[in-house]
This record gives sequence, C-alpha cells and structure tokens, in this order.
Amino acid sequence: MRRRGAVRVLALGAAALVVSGLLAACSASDEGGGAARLRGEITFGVLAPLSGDMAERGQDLVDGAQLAAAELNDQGGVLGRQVKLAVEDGGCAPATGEQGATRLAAKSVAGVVGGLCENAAVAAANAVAAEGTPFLVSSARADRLIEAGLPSVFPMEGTVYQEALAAVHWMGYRSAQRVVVLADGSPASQRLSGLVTDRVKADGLTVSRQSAEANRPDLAGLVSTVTAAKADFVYWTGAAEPGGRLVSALRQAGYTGYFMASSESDSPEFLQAAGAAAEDAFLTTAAGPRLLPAAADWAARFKDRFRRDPGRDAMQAYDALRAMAQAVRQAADTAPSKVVDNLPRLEGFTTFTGTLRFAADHSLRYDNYVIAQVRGGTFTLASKLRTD
Amino acid sequence: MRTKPLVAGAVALATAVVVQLYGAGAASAYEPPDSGPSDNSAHGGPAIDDVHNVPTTAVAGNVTFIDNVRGVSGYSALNFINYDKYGYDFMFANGTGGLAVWSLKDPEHPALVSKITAAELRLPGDTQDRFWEGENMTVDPKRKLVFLIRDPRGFGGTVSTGQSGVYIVDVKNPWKPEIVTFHPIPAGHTATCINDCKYLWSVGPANTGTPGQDPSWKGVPVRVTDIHDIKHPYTFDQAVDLGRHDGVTDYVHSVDVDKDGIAWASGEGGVRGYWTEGNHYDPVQKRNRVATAYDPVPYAGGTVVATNPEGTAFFDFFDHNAYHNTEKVGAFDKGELLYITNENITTCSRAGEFKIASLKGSYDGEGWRSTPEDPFRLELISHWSPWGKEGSATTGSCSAHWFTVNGNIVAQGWYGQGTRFIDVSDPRNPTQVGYFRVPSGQGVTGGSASAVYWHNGLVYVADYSRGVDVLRFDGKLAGAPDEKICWNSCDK
Repeated sequence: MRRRGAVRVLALGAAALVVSGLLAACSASDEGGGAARLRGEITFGVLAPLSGDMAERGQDLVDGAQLAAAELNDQGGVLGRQVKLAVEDGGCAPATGEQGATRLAAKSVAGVVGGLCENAAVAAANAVAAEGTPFLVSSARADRLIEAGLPSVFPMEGTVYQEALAAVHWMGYRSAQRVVVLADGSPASQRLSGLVTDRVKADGLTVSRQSAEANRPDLAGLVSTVTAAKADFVYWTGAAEPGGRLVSALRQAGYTGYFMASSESDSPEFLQAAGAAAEDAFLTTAAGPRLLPAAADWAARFKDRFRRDPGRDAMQAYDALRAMAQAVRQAADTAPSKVVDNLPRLEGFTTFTGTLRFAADHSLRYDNYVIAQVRGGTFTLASKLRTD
Repeated sequence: MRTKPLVAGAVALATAVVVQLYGAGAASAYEPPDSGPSDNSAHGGPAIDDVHNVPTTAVAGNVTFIDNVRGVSGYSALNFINYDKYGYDFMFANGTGGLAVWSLKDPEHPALVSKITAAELRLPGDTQDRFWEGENMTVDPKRKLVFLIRDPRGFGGTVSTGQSGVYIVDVKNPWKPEIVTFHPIPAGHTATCINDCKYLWSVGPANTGTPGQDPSWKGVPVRVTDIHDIKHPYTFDQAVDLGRHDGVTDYVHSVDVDKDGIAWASGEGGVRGYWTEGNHYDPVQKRNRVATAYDPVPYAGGTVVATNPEGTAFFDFFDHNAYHNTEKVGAFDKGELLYITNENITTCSRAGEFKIASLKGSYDGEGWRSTPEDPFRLELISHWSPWGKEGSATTGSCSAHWFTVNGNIVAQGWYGQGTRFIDVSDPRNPTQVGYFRVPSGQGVTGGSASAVYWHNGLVYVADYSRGVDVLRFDGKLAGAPDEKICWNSCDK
C-alpha cells in the first residue's frame, strides 16, 4: 500500500519517477524471491495522463503496467534482468504528450507503453519514433497513429474502420437482410456510419443511412426511417443518451428487429435512457475486463494488489508491457531496432482477446472489438468475434 | 485414336532449354523492376533455372507433349493470372515444395521467374519444410493475390495438432511474390475465392480433431473468411454447408464456382450448390432472401448412389470435386448436369470414377433434408474410369481427380493413369478421346497427375511427381469451346 501511495504522489506532482514494478507492490522475497536471481535492470517507459480530468484512467493504466512488471519479475524478469518502469505524465495535450515522451526517450528506455488521449499519444508517438524507440500505444484510438506511419509505433486499439467491420460481421451472424444505419451529426458518428453502410452495400444487402443533428436528434424521423425501410437490423453510431432514447422509441413504435449501437453507447447513459428497451440490444465495443471471462483471474490479481477493479486501460497496459517484454526476449537484445523488428512477429503471444498480431501498417490484424449485449440491465459479452 | 510419337515435344523442349539458359543468364544482373520487367529478354523479364524432364516413356493418344517444368516440387494444383501491363499470363503452382511462378509469355514453354519455398512458409513450431499442399489453388486475378491453403498435416503436423489456414501472397510483381500474412483458419485442405474474391471459402480436411471444430462433426465443413481487406482477414465462427451427409456435418473437400456464380461444395455426402450473391428463393427456409458468402442460399444438389462394389462407407459418397455445366448438353436441360469426381484410393480396377448426375428433383431443398432413414439421391447418368481403356496402367494409384471442362471435353487427372480427355457430348456414354501417361523409366520421372487445366488452347497438368507438363490436345474439341474455363473460380 505504501508503494501505491508513492505512485499517487507522482500522479499529483506530475514528476518523473522510476518505479520498480517489483517493488511497486511488495518485495521480491515476499513473492518467491524472483528478483534475487535477476542481474541488472531493464527499464520500460510508461506514458499516461497523471493529472487533470483523465488522471484516474491514467492511474489505471500505470497500475496495469505495474502489475505486468511485477509478474514478469516473478517469472524471472526479461533476459534475466529486473524490469523497472519509468513513468511520465503525458497529459492529454500534444505539448504534454511530446514532453513526456521526450523525457522517457532521454532515459534510454527499452520501449514505451501507454498513451491514452489521442492528441497526446500522436504527439508522443512522433517524439518517441524520432528516437526509434518502440512504442506500444495501449489506449488511444489507432486511426491517426496508423496514418502517421511511424515505424516504431504500434497501436493496440482498433480503428474506426475495424469497428465498422465488427458491426458488419455481427450483422452477418444475425442474418440481417434490411439494414438501417443511423448517425448523429458528429464527424465520428458520420464516419462510422458511412463505413458500415458501404460495407453492407458491398454485400448486396438493402441498406439505408440516415443522419440526425448531434445535439437534438429527431427521433421520430429516425423511427420513421426504420419503419419505412422495414428494417430487421438497426445500427446507431451516435452518442449514448440519444441512442438509449432511440431504441426506446423504436420499441414503442413496434420495431422488433435487432438494435445495435456503437462503442459511443458503452455507457450507463445509454442504459438509463433506454430503460427496459435496452434489453437485448447489442453494442460494438472494445473489449474490457468486465466483459472478458478470460480476464477474470487477472482482474482478481489486480484487485488483490490495488484494492479496486481494473479498468480497460489497466488491461491494455498490462498486455502492452508483456508484449514489449516478449519482443525484447525474442530479440535477445534491448536495441530499439531489434525490438521493433520483433513486435510484428511475436510468437505465441496472446492477450485477453486472443493472438496479438500487427498488419503491415501496424494496425491490429485482429482487433479487440467485441459484441456486448444488454442482459438484465447490464452489458454482457455476446461474442468476441474471434476464432483464435 | 491416333497415338503420337513425342518428337514434337522433344523439339519443343530443346527450344525451351535455350530460353531457360537465356533467362538464367539474365537473372544474375536482375534488379526488381518498379514498373515492370525489361522487354529485352525472351519472357519480358529474367528467369531462373528450372528442370525439364523429357517423358520418353510416355504413352499418349491424341496428345502432344510440349514441355515439362519443375519449379520447386511436384504440384497438386495450378492457377493463372493475366497481367495487362505485361500482356501475358503467369502460371502459379503449389505443392509440397511451396509456390512456383512461371511467365507464360511463351505459353508453350513456361519460364520460372520466382518461388516461395516451403522453408519460407514455416511457422513457429513447425518441424518440417513440407507444405501440404494446396489442392484446387485459388487466386484473385484483379488484386493479384495467390492463396496458399495450408492443411494441418503440413510442416510435420497432424490433423489434430497441425495449424491450418491460408497464406495470402501478393504477386503484383510476379518476379517478387510477397507473403502478406498467414491467417489461421480452422479449415485448410482447399480454398476457393467467392464473390469476386471478397471472401474465401476454406474447407476440409477429413478428420475429427482440427482445433476449432465441433466434436460432433465428422469432417471440416466450409469456413468463411472475409478478405475484402487482406490486412485484416476475418473468419466467421459459424460454418457453412452443415449437415451435408444425410444430415450429418462432414468433410467438404472442394468448392467450385460455376458460370452463373453458384458455389458448389463437394465432399463426403455429395455436391450442393449455393447462391452467394443476389436475391433468391431459399428452398430450405421457403422464402426469398439475399444470399451472402457467409449466409448463402441453397440451390440444388445431393449425392448419387454408390457404384463401386468394393466401396467403403467413406469413399462411396466422397464427391471430391464437381463442375456444374450451365449449358444444355445433348438431350439434357440447360444447367441440369453435374460432373463429379468420386475419389477412391483403391485397386486400379475399382478406383474412383468420373460421374455425371442430373440435378432434376433437387431444386426444392431435397439435398438438405436427406437423412439415413430417407436418403435423397441424384439420378446417376453415367460413370467412367480409364480401367481397361487404351493407354491405361493396371497397377498404381488410379483414382479420378481434378478436372476442367472445355466445350464437351473433360480433361482430368487420374494419378498414375495420367491425363484423360473424355468426350461427354453424350452424357450417358462418356468416351475417351485422348490420354497422356508417363510411366517411370531411365531418367524419366513417372507421372501422378493431380489436376488438368485447359488454358488458352493448351493443357497444363499439375503432377505430384513431375511438376507441370504442357500438352496439346490434338483431338477434335466437341461442343462450343469455352472462352473462360471454370474450376474453383472461372477465368477472369
């Protein structure tokens, strides 16, 4: 507990610290003495917002990395060396992201994990990549990172396009015939709805696309669209609260087909606004520990150490640090170029959603979007959408 | 039937050797082209050394041997892609040795331009450099992609421990094929492009242990993979063509798309066709609906009665591959006939046959309602084997195997019985009109023909032992010649 307090101090002060993953919880000898056999150290950087509105999620991210480091050390470290973490506050702005990344790069870390806010992560990625340091971006959305085409940067989140694929594939599982895709006026919603519509159309299914204003969606108009199209599958790509009201309005209008919402609706606001009408609704969302049975044991270990349930950021950072360690092991070296070479070809490495592989453009070859379903007023896992 | 000496072939081979030597010389100074190969060589680009085995022992009727090329090994299958920018085709072959690519600038004398060896296809954990083995090889001629389907028995694996899946190979530059990815799929004996290669149907093998398979299944059915985006292939968790053997889910061995776009799944328990695009009446669900690759609409099909008195429970109904003739043949209706390979590895006199069946009576979902108690069977129109026919062997492996159809001439591989040309103008009386068989001899690699392809006036034979033989059929081409040949997918 004392060590966790130290991290909190770091979070408040936004100062740089090097924290031994092993010592973050308790001594090695307390947990089997793994560290006693380790010779030398290997330091990985962790970049997260440790102040401001996102500090709580940032701390979750750091804790996930701490747990991974502790477990790696318990298992003999990496290349026989003790894993240490250098944690930096990357904030959520481009400037803070760049500064945090630059500080980590100056410490000659073997690799960096983390990155939560998109703007900060992109700036940090550019700074880290300039040094050739491998960076597994664990929480920030991948699109802009992929577009940047940085050779040493690998996002561990999916892209908007991959969320569209998840939606289309689930429609396939449900044998959809007449699809209506509804968006609010936000650019993100519009983009996702466009991608889904194009793919559904390519498969020859009947598809209608309708957009409403972002702030005041005309629910009656959207319901009319669904009714007129005789849809059997509706996909909502807009915000959570209007999504909840939309499914409620649809059910009241007698719509009996499938309703699915995008990850924007992965929120209590959706459930609250929908009420009973939320039941059985589907969601395309990024996999988190509360949805994944495979993460249950890990979540228990996390809770045992940190006295709280882990969030998604913790799970992602945990996987990212393990993946980075695996790349170092495969490279048998901490030279950045060698670690980067090994990241796209991790052997037998799995996350809680399955095998981790990267495509040539560094996007996840097999993304982490899953299908959730509302059951008993809460989100449950309907499908991992994976066959591995 | 006219039995020809192989003089023409020998002369042609001499020419080929000259060409190969030229190509080999050019290879040493070769730099991968950005926009295309130079035009100052015989094949539009450099070639690499190849082996040519002259079949001096061959027995042939109405067939001229032209050339033989070896590449990396023997082959189970070939395919072809036309390159507008070069103005000619390239031929792709896969087998235990991996992938080989030949320029067909001179179609009679393929020039080996590149290869991906089995060693280069190894995955972590593999114990052998042996690819298995890509029967019915499929390609995307538009995106210039080759799909190498990996059977779990490859690379030292077994049906229950091996890794199945597909290697996606970019061949935009045929001189420099690049493996884009290996994508694991819980199926992997053959694969076929569906819907203009936006999806891949992967099937087989016959076993009860492939990881990811329902333990109640007797073989691996169709697994559907979305390959719109080859960087992010996605395999659906729900399989297609279930309950195919009188209600039992069993081994699908091959998928072959006809000229109307219907995908025919062949295997244990018969041949069943599916619409994979468009709006069609579903005779099983009794409603009109949109067909997709992952949720196809049944069309017609089934299996035929067993014809082999020494058959087995498995081979009696093992419809290895099929071709749906969309045309009218003889007195049979347009689209009525199904040509089927019934593979049966047994003594030559009883080995698997070529069969012709009528689809009449199968358009209302009968093949999907068949049960052991109330089995549905297609009418068998005829069946044929080389046993006792001119040019045949009496020992060895003799079963029917892969074929293609041009007009009314079926060109088919029969393992040790070589290549057979069968006139099916009268579907009730298939007649041999040509053959080419290569017994082993001094300096001659004996033949084991896997698959035979009509292609632009020539015939290319994928041979498990010899590599690729290039032949010319000298008989009369019965029926209207096909502009595009169809096997797993139609020529594009």
